[in-house]
Amino acid sequence: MTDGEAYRRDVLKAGGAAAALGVGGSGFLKTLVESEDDKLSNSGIENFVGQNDVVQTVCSPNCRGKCPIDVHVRDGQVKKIEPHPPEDEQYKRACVLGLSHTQRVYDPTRLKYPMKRAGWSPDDPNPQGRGPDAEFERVSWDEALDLVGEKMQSLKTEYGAESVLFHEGSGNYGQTGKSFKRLASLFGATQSAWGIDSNVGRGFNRVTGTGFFLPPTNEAEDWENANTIIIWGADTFASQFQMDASKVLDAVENGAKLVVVDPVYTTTASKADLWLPVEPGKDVHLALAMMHTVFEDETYDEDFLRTRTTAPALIRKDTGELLKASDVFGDGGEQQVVAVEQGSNSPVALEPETGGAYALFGEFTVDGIQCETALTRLRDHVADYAPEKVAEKVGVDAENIRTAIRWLATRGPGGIAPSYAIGRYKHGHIFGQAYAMLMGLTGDYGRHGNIHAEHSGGATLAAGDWAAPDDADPGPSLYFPDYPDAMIDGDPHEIRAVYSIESNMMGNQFPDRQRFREAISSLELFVVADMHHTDTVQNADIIFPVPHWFEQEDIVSGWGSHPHLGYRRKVQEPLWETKDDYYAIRGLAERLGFGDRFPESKRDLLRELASRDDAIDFDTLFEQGTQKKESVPIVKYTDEFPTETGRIKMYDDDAPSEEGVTFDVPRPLEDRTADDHEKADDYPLMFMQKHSRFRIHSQYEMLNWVREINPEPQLDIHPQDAKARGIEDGDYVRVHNDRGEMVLKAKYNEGFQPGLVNTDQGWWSRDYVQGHHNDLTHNEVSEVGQTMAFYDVRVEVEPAPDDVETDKYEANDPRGAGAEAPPAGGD
Amino acid sequence: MTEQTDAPTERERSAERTAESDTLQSDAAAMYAVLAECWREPSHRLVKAVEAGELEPVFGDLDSVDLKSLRTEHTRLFIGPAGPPCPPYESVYRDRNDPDELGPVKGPATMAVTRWYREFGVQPAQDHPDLPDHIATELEFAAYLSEEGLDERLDQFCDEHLNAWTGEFLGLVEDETCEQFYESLAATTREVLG
Repeated sequence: MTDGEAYRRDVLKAGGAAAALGVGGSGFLKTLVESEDDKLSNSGIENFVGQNDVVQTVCSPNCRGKCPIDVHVRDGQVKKIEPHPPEDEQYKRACVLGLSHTQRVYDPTRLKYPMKRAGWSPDDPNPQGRGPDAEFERVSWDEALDLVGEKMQSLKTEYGAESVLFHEGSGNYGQTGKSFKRLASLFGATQSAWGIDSNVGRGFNRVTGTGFFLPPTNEAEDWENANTIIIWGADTFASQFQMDASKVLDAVENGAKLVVVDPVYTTTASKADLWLPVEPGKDVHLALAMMHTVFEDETYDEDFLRTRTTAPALIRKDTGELLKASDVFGDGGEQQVVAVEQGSNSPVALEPETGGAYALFGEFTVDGIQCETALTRLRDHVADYAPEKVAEKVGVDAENIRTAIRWLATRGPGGIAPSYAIGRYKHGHIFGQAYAMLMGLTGDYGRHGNIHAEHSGGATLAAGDWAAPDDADPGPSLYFPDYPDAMIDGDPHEIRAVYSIESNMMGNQFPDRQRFREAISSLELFVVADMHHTDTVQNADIIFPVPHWFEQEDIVSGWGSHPHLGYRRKVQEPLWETKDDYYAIRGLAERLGFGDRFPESKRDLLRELASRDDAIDFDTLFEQGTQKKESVPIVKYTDEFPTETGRIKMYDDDAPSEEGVTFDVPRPLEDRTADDHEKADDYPLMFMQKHSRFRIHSQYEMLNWVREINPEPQLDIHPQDAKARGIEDGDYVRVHNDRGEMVLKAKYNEGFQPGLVNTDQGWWSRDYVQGHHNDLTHNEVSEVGQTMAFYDVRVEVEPAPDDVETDKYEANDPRGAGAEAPPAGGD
Repeated sequence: MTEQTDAPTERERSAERTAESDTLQSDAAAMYAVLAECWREPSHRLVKAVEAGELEPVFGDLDSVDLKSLRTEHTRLFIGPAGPPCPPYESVYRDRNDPDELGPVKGPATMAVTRWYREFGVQPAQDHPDLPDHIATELEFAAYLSEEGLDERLDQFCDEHLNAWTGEFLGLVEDETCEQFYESLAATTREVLG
């Protein structure tokens, strides 16, 4: 004690103050209680000896890994994480991000208590108060739920239930979404419809009748049977290392050829037998050149084309429509297409899954109608795309184009494994159509060793109509890209409130971020549930704090990854007042009059959902921790295709058009990647945002361990582009276009071709010196793809202005104690 | 942590205890108890006591306070959602590997404090949602040791725990806060802990 006199004097005076505060008597113990006698005898260090538990649970972000893990707990603390083999051990996996939960679970910046924005009330939402300067008050869960329930009910009365949007992201893989959708359905709220990563799948679907995200592909255990794998726009060995990579390597060990098509010299490209450095957005040209080679070499699979595709189907030359059986035969079907038999030239209606001596090429006259086969039309279409002709445009040597597709066409089963990257160009669906047809030519469907996507389908919990019960009157769906118009202009209908779970999209991860922020600012209520203080949370009116995954019980699907369900056991009780999303959803259901439609506990909910899936037994799943869903087929596309004809469509006579281009066959259409784009001179560089091994979308951003090796955002730029702009390696640069800017460090990287720059995705506002990568991206989508086009972006780069403040990186501590509260609005 | 029991709530326990006696034997205990209460979520009673000048003997002059702004500031400094800039937990300062980083919550220091509590017959209340090494709970334990007359143990606890981290924490509060109440609370806590 530095000043004994002063201290003694003060102490003598504390009694009155204590009494005034109600802690003058024995009531001073408020957060501690006296132990029971029997507990006393257990006190002391020996109380912890032997308290070493290993809890089997599941990691749950949307990297798709869904890795079963063992969590080692010692003295009540999570100390170590290890992979736990699932029931089928060949799917064992885990990554170092998953192992880093020992740090994330105890992150001091986790959200802790429900909060209300200080300036918000149901009757006076004060939307101007949102953003970086918003202040918050801690409130009780009851108060938070009462406020939200009351506001939702009053909006329903005044504007209709569809004025409330239930927005769900992909940040926590469990069954929460089903209860969220169930409440939305019962209430009648607008529900979110996915507008990211659905481009390639939609195009593939136009050909095969299946696919929305990436199409189904053989489960990963079968990949070792592939003789050729063309990975197209995926850095599997970097960002999917823990799961898909090992299966690709199994195939390579068995002698498979590995081709990588990527504008970037990625880790994966560096391990390939052949790398095709396609220029951004030229993928369809390249696929058409590959088709050209297959026709030139006559390596197409004739039997497959006759049995499972519409290649022999006749196209009427007068109308461009497919000749229908009803045109030819009295009792012919209106959907059934017609071929001719070789030799006799007599017409025959095509049945699904039925081969025959059908003519694949040629012109025929049937009942006086002049026709040609679909395959003839396709061959003539791709005649313009000889490898030599497109080589310069796509940036790939003509012989390498031939080699790649020859391997696929002649070395036995194999496949093309695209990622979502091509769908991040506006018209990416055309690539989906193109490669689906290319694999139709090579006959790579329905066999061991076929691959159609960078990740397999895995298993999901099939709960029937639980999320949308029969007696509900669900509201409309709204695609992500349509949110701003609905919120700002009431088009197609007004959105006045949003309840968001498992998502940092609206404040960070969606493109054209300023427009989304404007949209948020027009809301009367923005409720955000999260584990961390994301940019989205900073814009909320009510915050529901969600526990770490280790503090929530759930059933985790192996969607997109492996054919198991996993049981996520609680490792510890939730810290602070964080609560499982189900607590909030059920609490709101009670307040909105649907409480009896929701099981009381999360365990009851999980038991009920599991009971609806015949392939899963709750007790087995619970006890084993994982259960393989044996009903998941390992080889896909073995049955009739779900198209009108039951066959792969090699020609689409009912094709959509965009900007005057009709997609009866795949026709290249580019947006900003076009060399003659109107902004090409002002903004000559294409800008992509790769997935990084350091973050899963915007998760793990706060981890100190990650920041030690990946401390700040950087712009990958080819030295040639940098030097032309007077930029040295490590300089801070301003990246800008007609929508916005970001300021960050430049990194010379010869892996990126000249004309292409990159910033890994997942950084938050606070990580940039100024701006954000999503201030540069736009929200324009194609009519067919309906998918946000994050990579279809042009920018220019210049040295950063002299007055930019880069102190936070010089101090090397953007989030440390004593740093200013992160300016989450950041603009 | 274990399942909830039918244990009485904090408020019920306080009421029982207040009924038993309304003064602490030890003046030092009273001081620690006052500080502990002031670091907790601000209450009506706190505001009333400040406004009535009841805390003046401890803190000297205090500016007028209102509950809403005090609670907003408490939330901002110690809870979030941003940061918080002044994490009120021992482990954040003691269990880190790098002085520029924030350490974890519920770290080894938290466990060590909990062992102290158990050793002396108390434990964190099951219905209390915050961590055992929160500044308020550690001060509450100091009051308890003092009230039990365990002065040497109190000195040891202060050496091993409170004084090992609150210097940095109180500095952060003094730098960060815009409420005179918290400036004064930080300064007084620093002085008392010496």
